[in-house]
Amino acid sequence: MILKKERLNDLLEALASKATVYVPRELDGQTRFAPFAKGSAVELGKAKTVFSPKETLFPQTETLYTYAQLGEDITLCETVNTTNQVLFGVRSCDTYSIERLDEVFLTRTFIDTLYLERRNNTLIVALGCTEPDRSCFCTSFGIDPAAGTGADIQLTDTGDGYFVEALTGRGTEALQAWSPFLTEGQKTAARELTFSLALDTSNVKDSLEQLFEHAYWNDLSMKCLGCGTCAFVCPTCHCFDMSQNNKGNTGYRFRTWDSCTFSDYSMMAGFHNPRPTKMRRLRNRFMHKLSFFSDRYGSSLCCGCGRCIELCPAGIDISRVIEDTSSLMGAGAEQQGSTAVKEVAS
Amino acid sequence: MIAISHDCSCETNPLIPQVCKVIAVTQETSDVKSFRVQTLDGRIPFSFVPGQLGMFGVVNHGECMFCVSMGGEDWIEFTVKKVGTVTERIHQLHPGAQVTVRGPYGNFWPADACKGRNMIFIAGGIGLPPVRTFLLHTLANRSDYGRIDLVYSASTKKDLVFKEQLFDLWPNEPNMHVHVSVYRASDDWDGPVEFTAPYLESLGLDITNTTAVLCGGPSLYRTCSKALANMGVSDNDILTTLEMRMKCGIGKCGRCNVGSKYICLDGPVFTQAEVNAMLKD
Ligand code: SF4
Ligand code: SF4
Ligand code: FES
Repeated sequence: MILKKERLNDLLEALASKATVYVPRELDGQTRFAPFAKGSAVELGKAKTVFSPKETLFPQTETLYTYAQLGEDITLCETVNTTNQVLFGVRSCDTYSIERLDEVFLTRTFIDTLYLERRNNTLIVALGCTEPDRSCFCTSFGIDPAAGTGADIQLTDTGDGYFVEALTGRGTEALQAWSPFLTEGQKTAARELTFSLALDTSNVKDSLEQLFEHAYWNDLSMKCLGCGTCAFVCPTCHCFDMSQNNKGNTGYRFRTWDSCTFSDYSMMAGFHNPRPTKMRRLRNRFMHKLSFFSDRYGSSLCCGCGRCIELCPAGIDISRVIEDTSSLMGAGAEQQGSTAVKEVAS
Repeated sequence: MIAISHDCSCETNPLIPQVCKVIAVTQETSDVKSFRVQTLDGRIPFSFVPGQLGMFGVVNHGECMFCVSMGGEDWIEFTVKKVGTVTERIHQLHPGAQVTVRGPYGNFWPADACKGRNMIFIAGGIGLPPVRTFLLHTLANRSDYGRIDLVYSASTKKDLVFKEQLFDLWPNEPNMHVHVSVYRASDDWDGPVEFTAPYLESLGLDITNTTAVLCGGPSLYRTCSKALANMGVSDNDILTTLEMRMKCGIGKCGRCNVGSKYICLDGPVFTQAEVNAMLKD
């Protein structure tokens, strides 16, 4: 079935009457997934949004529970999420990332119920890419920009419309409400996409492990400002901090996004910091993305969306880290043993 | 979407604690206190295996992860050193105060695998509480274990925790030997004045068929694992419990990683051989 582009807004309006529909929108010059409202311009033409759709499932700040104290007595009240939501126009890099978040929050012994509630109430509509950005390199991680794995419905641009197909039972069910807006039609052959960044990531895990003690990390981290931008725009970064906001006898405990590049990230009581230098923190970031995560979950925690490449104020570029470490390995750097790493206090 | 296998004990949000009450407070040293807690209806907050962790907090001040230091029929105990703002607030708690507790988290001391072996427990300062549950387990199942040695040190006599057990109870246990040293002499101390590692080596303990259990700060850990190596204890026979900053305790917040291990899920208990294999950061 085909959704003609001129019917897009009608469909979104119909969907928005039943659920919060997140679409790529430009707000203050930056694209992000924001709720659709009648008349909003939808930016489906651009490759990726500046901010990832992560915040619709794992908000930047989220209340875990509220509490009240009356004399000695304490009562806690759980937060529940019941709003239905549709993520519309999600690219393959971001559906891959949502699958990684699912693994983090929904597997390995503990279930994060707040994430689970949002996830269960979310329908994901993917859109195949037609024009990658210069910083895009999803294909380097084996991601197909035309097919959003983990999505419920896949859209494919056919020029004047979108070919619509359900990928899950939930997608099939949801499509019933779409039928008034759809017409008969065929999928056009997928367009050949050209990526300016094509990296060999097959050995990156090994290279990073072998270069763990290499002075490369010191040079690289010299520039890092520890600003956390890379983690905040990243669709897969899932680290969070927990804290509370207290007002008199009541308050709430909440979590917020965190970044392992922040200097106090691992700081323990008594000011002992197991990662006291920028070198150790930035190295941990890249190791987590490209090595540690795959030890635990068997996949890469980078989807190659390139958002951090676009926004890092210091020009630190994960695609170059992959290339640099690969050429250092090629040059036999690991043979040199541990190049005396002179750590810069920071 | 991922099929969810729900094998954790909690039906609800695992980040939401239980409200519990403090039933007893023991002043261990000038800056260490033990807190016994139970649920408001008088039950044990959670059952645990020696070595496991629990998150203990004051609702409007936050929570911290501790190794459970002792457990009874209807209570568990946390032993807390005053080192930061949350622990400072915890130190003001009195019996009857309501607190938040969640857990148990992490793995545990391999008590079964150590059956039939001699045990050397080594701890420094506030490192004794995490070791104590294991020590108490071996004493409660005395016939399962051989000779038991405890080597414990602290800065001065007044910094030694659990003094009653240390000086009055444990030395009278069958085939148990308690060795205590301090780093700085004082008038009321006539025992050895020595750092833990050289003291440990000087004891000339027999290490055949022996497992060593080690817990202390970074420098004690470094020096004592070296001392154990000098004594000929293999890295597979040294057990330790690692400390990292923790927030969630459930392997989600990413905080407590050492290499690809999460201390809150894969630890806190590791063998020295496992620690050696980790990428240090
Ligand atoms: S690390 Fe950078 S390129 Fe990789 S997923 Fe995160 S933001 Fe995208
Ligand atoms: S965005 Fe760049 S400068 Fe900022 S923390 Fe990340 S790597 Fe460092
Ligand atoms: S404390 Fe959150 S992952 Fe271990």
